[in-house]
Amino acid sequence: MTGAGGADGTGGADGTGTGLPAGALPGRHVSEYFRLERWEVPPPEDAPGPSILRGRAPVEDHQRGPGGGLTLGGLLSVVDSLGGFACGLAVLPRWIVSSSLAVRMARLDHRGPLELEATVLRSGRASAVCEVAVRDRGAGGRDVASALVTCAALDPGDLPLRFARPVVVPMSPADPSAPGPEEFFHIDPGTGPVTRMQMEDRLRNPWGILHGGAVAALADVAAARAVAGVEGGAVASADTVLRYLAPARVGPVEARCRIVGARREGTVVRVAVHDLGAGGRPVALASVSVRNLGPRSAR
Amino acid sequence: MALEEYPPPHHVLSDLGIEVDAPDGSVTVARLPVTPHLYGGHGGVRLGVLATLVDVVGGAIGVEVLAPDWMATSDLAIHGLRPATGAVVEARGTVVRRGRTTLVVETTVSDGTDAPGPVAWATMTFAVLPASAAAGPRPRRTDRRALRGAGFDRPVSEAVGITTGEGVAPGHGGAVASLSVDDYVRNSFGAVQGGVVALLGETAAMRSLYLAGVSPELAPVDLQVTYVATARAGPVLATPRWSEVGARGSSTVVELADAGAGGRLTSVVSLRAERW
Repeated sequence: MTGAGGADGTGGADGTGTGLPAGALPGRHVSEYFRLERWEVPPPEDAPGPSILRGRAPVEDHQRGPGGGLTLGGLLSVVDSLGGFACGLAVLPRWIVSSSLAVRMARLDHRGPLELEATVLRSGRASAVCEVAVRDRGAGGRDVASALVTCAALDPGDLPLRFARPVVVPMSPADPSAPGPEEFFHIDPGTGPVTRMQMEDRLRNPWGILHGGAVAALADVAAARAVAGVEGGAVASADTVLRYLAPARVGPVEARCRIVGARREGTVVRVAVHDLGAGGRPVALASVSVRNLGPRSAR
Repeated sequence: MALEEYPPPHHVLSDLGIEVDAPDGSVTVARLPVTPHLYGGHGGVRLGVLATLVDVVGGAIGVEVLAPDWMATSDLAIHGLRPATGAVVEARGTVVRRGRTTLVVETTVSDGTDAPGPVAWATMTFAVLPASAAAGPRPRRTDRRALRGAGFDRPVSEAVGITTGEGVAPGHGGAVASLSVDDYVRNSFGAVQGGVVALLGETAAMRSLYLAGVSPELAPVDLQVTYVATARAGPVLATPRWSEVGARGSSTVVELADAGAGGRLTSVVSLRAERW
């Protein structure tokens, strides 16, 4: 199984919300950082099918990116967590890892809190596909993004999956001392086409591999740095397609960027992510559209 | 339809005149002769046509790499980088990752002009279907192939059976485009060919943006197709489900459903349109 992302399957701050034992899932810290609240909406009795999963995440000031709203990496993290969780519930008693994330951004300057709704479009023995709509509650429910999460289903092995249904994961408390996303995700400072992330236990998902949201956060920062290093000026990562190729288990993890083309409104960047501690093994491939935030170019 | 007979002479891929080659074993190349009927309204070959070429490259790679297993396209994402205006467009595809359950391919498309850089870049994922679970082992096809059909006598979207405007699926409110399904657009599995799905998605998405009042100067620059289920019966109806109109570009998402299969959702297509 090649998927390497993954819903973190958390039980909230202490694991009690889902019936999971506290501390059973070490990757929970990513969702806690973004304070993602989640709750399951079961289907009506006369229309059986997968549950809808809804979520809410405040956009803290220290989590905002150059576009004014939650960083792209942050948005992808919450999309991955919610969408992956919805897919996981749909394939029980199996569980999932994310195999791809695709997001089309409507607005980069959202206010928050964000409201999310994950709807499973298909679930089968081997995979599941989920659509995640993201709206800005602070701006009257305006659309922020439309995303698709594709997951591979697999045998959960020893992973504890004892859920109290419907699942409710409360919002974790605010942490005034929380760092910005680059520091939280242990992304090394730097500029240019190569960006590195240190592997920390809190960034691992329930399978013990690097959380899909952490890979997304790295791709976001790396693509923006690659474009800023060439063009200068203010830029922000936007539309993204991220494919998880293999698990990142060792680290550090390195994103290598190549600009494949520049358009009037932005730049398309190829981001290849490698696990340096595993012989440079490729773990993800992303295409990131980096938008110019300054005046229009004369291109 | 047996793989060896696919595509037949009267088929969209044959009429496109695509030539497929694997010159050195590590790269697969497909070339498409450009005719006026492949152009969109923004000064280059339509992004959906380039997506079809990319799909052919990916399929050729999958056939070669995954034998004796079969595969199904999971998703395709293509980024247009400048208008494709050359006489021939060429797509070169390589394997990014061959896993037990998935194959990831990336493809660069160029047009042979003096303009710098490629015209498009694409990635796609295939789900591996084990031979035992599919239709038995499948032989490799390593030969160079040139598909030769009669060509098009009208715009490609019309030729494949895409309809927009007043003719779309009476009684199915909300659909902005539809596709009639016959063997001309079916693949060797009997489902609508992946590139044709992309072409329908592009047509519907641009129609949706047009109806939303977006400037016709905006060209489709990014197209992403997620294949949820196969479309076999038809007509396939394309209905907008999300859109955002912005000052610097607009985005939309459309869903494609097989009306002949109880309205089953088959694909979700998202598109970004900007000025070149």
